[in-house]
Amino acid sequence: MHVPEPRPILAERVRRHLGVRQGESEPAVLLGLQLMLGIGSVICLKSAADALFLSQFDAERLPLVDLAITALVGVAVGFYIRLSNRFPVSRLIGFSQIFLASNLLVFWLLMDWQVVAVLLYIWVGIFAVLVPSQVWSLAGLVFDTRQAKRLFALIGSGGILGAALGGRFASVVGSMFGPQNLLLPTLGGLLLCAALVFRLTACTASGERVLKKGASGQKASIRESFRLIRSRRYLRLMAGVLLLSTVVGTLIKYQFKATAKAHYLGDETALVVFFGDFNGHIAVISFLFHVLLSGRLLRWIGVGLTLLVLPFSLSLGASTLLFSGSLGTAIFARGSDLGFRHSIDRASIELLYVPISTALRAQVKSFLDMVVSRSADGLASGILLLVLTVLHFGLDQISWVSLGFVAAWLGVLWQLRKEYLYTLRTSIERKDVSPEELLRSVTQSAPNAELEMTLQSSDQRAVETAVDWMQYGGATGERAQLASLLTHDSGVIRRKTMAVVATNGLEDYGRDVRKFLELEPDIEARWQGLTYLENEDPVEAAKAVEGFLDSDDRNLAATAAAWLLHRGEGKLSGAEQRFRVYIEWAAGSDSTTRATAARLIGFAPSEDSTRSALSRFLRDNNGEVIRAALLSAANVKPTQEVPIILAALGDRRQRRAARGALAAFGEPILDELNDSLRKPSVDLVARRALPRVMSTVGGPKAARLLLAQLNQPDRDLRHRVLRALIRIRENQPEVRFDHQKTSELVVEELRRYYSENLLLSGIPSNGLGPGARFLQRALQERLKERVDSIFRLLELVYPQREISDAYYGTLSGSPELRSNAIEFLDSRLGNPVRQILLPVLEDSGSRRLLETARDLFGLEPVAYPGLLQRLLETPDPWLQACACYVASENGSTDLLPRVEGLAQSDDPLVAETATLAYIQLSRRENEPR
Amino acid sequence: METLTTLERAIRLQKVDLFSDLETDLLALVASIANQLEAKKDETLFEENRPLPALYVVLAGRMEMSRGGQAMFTVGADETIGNWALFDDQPSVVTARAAEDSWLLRIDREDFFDLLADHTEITRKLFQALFKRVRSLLTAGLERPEAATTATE
Repeated sequence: MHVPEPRPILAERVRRHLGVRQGESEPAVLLGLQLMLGIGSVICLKSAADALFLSQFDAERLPLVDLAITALVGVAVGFYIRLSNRFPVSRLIGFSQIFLASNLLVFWLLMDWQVVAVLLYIWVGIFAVLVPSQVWSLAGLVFDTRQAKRLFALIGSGGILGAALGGRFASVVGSMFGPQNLLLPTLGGLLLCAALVFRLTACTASGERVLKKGASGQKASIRESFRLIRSRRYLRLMAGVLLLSTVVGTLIKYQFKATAKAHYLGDETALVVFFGDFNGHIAVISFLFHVLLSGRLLRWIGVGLTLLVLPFSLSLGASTLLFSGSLGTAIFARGSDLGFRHSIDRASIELLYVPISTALRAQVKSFLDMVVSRSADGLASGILLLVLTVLHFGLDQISWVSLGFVAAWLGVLWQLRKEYLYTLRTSIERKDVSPEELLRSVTQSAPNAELEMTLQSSDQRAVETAVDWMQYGGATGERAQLASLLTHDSGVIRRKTMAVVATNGLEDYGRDVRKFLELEPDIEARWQGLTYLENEDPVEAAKAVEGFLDSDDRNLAATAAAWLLHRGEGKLSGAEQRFRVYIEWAAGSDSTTRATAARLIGFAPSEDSTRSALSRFLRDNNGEVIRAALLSAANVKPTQEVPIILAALGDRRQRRAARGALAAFGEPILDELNDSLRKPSVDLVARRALPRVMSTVGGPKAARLLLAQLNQPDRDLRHRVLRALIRIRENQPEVRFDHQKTSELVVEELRRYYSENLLLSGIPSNGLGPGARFLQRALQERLKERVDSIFRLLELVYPQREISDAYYGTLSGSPELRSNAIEFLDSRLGNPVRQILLPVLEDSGSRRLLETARDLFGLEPVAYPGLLQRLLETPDPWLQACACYVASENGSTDLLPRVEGLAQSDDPLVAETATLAYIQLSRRENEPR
Repeated sequence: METLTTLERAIRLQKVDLFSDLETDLLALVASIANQLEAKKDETLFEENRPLPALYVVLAGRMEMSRGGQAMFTVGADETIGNWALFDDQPSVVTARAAEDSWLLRIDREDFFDLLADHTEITRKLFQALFKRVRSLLTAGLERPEAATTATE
């Protein structure tokens, strides 16, 4: 049943279109307005300063004043960073803007002096760096990675709008009152901008965060910022990109200004009108591009590709200037620069800062934004001086230099893209410590004296633990103590001590091990003892084995015979015959002897008589004998016994041994296992054990077969198949999984997620009975399970650790970690998975999920009574049972036919619940109305 | 009181602290080994210093807990008796007697262990729940001295 969606009001529609969510509107608008006023002031003042300077000085002087700007920006930024150590960010920004406004008043009052044109030009150069950077710093503190990706484009559009208005304002007011009179209205704009900063701090919780973060007390200085950038590859690459992009921009800006000066013959009013109009029009174009495309481009192609837009457009602009030095081509080149630099490129660059920790960002952002950019201006000015005065390049030839820098820029961007992903990944990485390492470090730190004292303890469990510690810690212990433990009354302690002696490479225990062999009935431990003797001294070992052959303990004698057979010395001392006789005798003996014989078969080379004995033991009526026979089957690999081994998977006590026996057959058995896995006639409990067997066999074939089994109707079986696939992925990273098939499975799982989410969102939040609340919980669990399965599937085709870390990041309680994890997935995953998965992970409210469900899968919301019908038809028996119960709880007699059908279900739980529901609903229907 | 279906028992079991982290379908598995029983007024369910091999959930009615003949507290609907009996084989420290006609669910330790052996996912969830509890106790223990330090500053 379709539920009509309430019509969103206009503001809500606009908000949704712009990607603004609850609680984000006010800070986003305030930041957008600040940027608008800031950039508007910059454009207005630049038009005035350019016009005043170029009307009084030659264009060739521009590189000199740009160099001065570079030097003075360094001083100003150093001072600003020092202030940022002392004052909260918002207060510093607000008051610094008031201070800058007061500077404008002074310039205006002293405008009659020619030198003021130079000072103003330099001052505007510093101002143009400082103010936009301040606003972006605030934005970076207020929003996290995911918010930044959605909102930076919107905030940036405020800047572009400011540029458009500032340019137009400069053109109109400048032509009417002269460029010098643009200073006063700009002063007012700056004061308003400062007021908005204080408002932002006061309005939201994030504002408080901004205040706090500023007063972190960290010691930042230009030198420290430089050291930090130098020590981190990601920051070095970012600095490289900023430097190269600014150099190219400055070279093109010079070509543009010089062309304009030549075109208007230095006329002050004509120049201010031209610069104002140009900046205004470019800003409008940029604004439109930004609003219509920037945000979408960032979401569609990601930051890695949006960063390429500016270098490609600049290379095009520089190329056109090579062929024609007209004002039109200069406008095109400079327009491409400004159009993209302040829109898509700025938003992309700002996103690059987000994966950096807040503390580090605070230390390096001002340096990168201001010092690096101004250094680039200085470098570009130096290059201009060189090419113009020493190499005597023409204006058009400067483009060759630009193109060279663009090539280097693209190279650095390529590296930066990879490093961006790496930085995101490391920001969400879990620092796991291996349990083995931990245990080893603990055991190695245990004092020997304490360990030795424990080994003498009368408490058997304490001794066991001490021996375990010795094994993990690789300790050697006191010889006499270990020797006595080899003949300890407790078999567990004896066997564990034997393991310590054998695996820790302890020498000179031959005599004690012989005693151990006489005492210990366990075959595996005896085999370990014999192996130890053989490694210690082969001659002595041979003597000992010969002695054991004549032992009264027939099991020990048979073990010695099996050992000789195993070594190919079966003819010696009649071991072959003795072993055969022993097996025949054991078959008619008690269960312990039968189990020993069954296990010994696995150690001796296979022959017909022992194979037939093994078949008998596999069919024994004693569980211990069967288990021993299954363990031996792993060595003998009796092909004809596969069905009986498969059946043993159904018995919890035999399962482990049966798994080992089947896995030992290796790849040839995979098809048979796969068939059994598919057949509903095979015991479900046994089938559930098969994926693990297949994963133990491993290899590409197991991976392919298991992947095709992910459509199993039984949920538990499906989970086990997925776990088996993950095990193959972990143990055999070289196995490749079919990307296309896996993506299809992920999309299918996502479709189910959206479908179940629609059902969940159809359940009202109030007035529910206990059954409906239970159903609600069951659906929530299904959704969690789906997400878990999706990530497991993704682990098959993407670097496992990265996906696993990202998954845990998305579950994290830390908004920053969560946001970085989602951003990482956004950058790492391909479409369509990315497009469908991200709305699920982002805490974007049910409305967006409902829209995505409709747009991508054509799924429509279902109202409460109707959704019960849907649930009764689901293939999931658990949800069916819950729905039956809720139908009965609600008295939904219209569902009676379906409930009646489910009363015949093969699933006992569904049948039981449906039967009860049917009785109650029938009773209700028959009640007089 | 009517005999509850497995699903109804699962709904009741979700309130048991020990099972609160189990998914609903795993709760149904636990419910499948839970037996419903009636205790008439004054009937003794188990006695002090005697083995207690089961966990009980009161469905309806009230059970009185006493020690040395002295009433200590009562347990009502949806509350549990013998929370740790599933893991701990120590004798009961109290006697449980029905203060009124009562209905209970009983989960036997042996059945429970069989269930855990067959369904390792239940074992995993129970371990998670127990470790979560241990961790919260440790965290509380670690935070307390800090709080004390802050208070003295």
